Amino acid sequence: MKRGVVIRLTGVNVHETGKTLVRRLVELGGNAECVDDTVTMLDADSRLESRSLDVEVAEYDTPDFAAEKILDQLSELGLVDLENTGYTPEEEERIRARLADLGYID
Amino acid sequence: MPKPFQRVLVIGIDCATPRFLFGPDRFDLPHLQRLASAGCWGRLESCHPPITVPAWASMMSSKDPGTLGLYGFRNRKDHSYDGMFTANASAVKEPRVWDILSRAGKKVVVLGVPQTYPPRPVNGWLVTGFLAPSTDVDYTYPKTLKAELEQAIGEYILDVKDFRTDDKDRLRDQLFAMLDNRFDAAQYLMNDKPWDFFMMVEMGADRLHHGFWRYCDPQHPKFEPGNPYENLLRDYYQALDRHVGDLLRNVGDETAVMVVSDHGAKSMTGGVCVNQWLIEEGLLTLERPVDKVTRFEECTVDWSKTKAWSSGGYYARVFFNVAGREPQGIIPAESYEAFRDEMVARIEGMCGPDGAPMGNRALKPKDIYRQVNGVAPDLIVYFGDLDWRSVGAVGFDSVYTFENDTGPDDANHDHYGIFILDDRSGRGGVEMTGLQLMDVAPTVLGLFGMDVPADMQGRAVLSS
Repeated sequence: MKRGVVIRLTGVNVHETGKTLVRRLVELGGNAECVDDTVTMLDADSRLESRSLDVEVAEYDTPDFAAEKILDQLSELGLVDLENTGYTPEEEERIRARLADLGYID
Repeated sequence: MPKPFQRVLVIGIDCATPRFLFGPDRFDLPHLQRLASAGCWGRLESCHPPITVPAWASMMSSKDPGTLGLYGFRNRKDHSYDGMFTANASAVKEPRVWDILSRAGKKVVVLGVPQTYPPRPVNGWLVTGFLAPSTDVDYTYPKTLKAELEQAIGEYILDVKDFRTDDKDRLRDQLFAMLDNRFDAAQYLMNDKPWDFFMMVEMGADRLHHGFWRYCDPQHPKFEPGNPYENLLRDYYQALDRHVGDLLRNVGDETAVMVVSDHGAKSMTGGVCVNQWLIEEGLLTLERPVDKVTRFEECTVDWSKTKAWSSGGYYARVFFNVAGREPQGIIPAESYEAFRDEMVARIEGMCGPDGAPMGNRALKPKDIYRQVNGVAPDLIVYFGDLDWRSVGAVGFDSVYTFENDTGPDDANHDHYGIFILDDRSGRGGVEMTGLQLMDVAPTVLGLFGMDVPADMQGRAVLSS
């Protein structure tokens, strides 16, 4: 039996939001599926306890934005790690050198 | 209560300096000055430290840098001696005004605001600022906006290249090209996207001041009359003003318009070699002395004999080597505050090369912030209250240097930027005083008729 976090979506654009949420969870290194209006975060090791979350998608939210709001909620619950500095080590060094060139830092 | 606005436009000009817009030296800037004389205007006090990061994040979240846990572009990750990170958007954990507006269903456009890379989703469109590594990465939200924007305006210019060049003609040309490019992007987004909140920031004025101040300010020690760039500051500000005028043609009375900057600029006298000074004061010891100018990060420090070290830039961050906190700390924890008081006295008592007191300011984070999060400097120092920059390198003959260690730079930041608000209520050019950076976000929310979150530290500057 699959275990994981179950996210039930209601409101508008739920199907698109669900698909987007699954894509983002996979991008973040997880595994998820969307069936009807329910997204299940799957944990291969079954370490995640079964847990459910009801989310209403706001009428003015695009599927992308709605999915990111859900990810923020999941992150606050400790269920998803959103930590991402956005820089590779090479990019970080390039930015550091640029900031020094601009005089902001040594 | 004033009627809420349908739309709010914020034009940010990094480093725009009050004397060029408001003072007796002001340039002739008809569009910006018309906004000011229709509405209200004033100096906008920056944060501590008055620098692009964290100032724009502080402004748009209405949280002070201590609450944000960000004390500059580069911050200590932990209490190790060399663990640092660059504070991009991922480091901003407090909602900024476009996050709040997005959640409330407002459509937002955010263009070039510092500390927005990597892009986070908004209810609208976002083009990140100059902390994006390059335009090869996804620097927009949504991702599809990148190709759309580049098709509309051509290459998107994040920042000038090779700022330290001695080829001033090339730097000048880049600044004007970047100005045109940013406003081309703004025009495209403003006309193509349905928006309620539109914010843009142009960085060029900052680069201009740092790169050309000596050529334009007769009071600068290195000014030479008749040089080819003597009117460049005026010319740039006037070009900027024309762009603002063109942008304002897209909006009417339904839009409140704000123009702000994060800090100002002023002439820079020279640099204080702060780690060199710490060495001479017996507070910092290197394992091997250096015989030429050397970046501090390339030196090997004898931590067992070091009480303090510093990072340089437009201001200094001074860090203490505390027992039980730093890996080889030597200052007993119970002596920390006494040592800090001693350091404040020593730094503020420093005299310049002429023997006169420099007017240094050494600030304790606990005294200037509501909270102190992250790993804060133990002292934030403004040499000569920002008349001098801070140089972290060692191996100089003197604590004072009049040649920049990293290349030409003629200006430092100043504590006050600009604030202009036309809320269409016919204020007639009232000068506002006491305005602070953190007042901007509450003012934006107030213009929409929205409640200001209780944890915002600034106040709404509204019509009355």
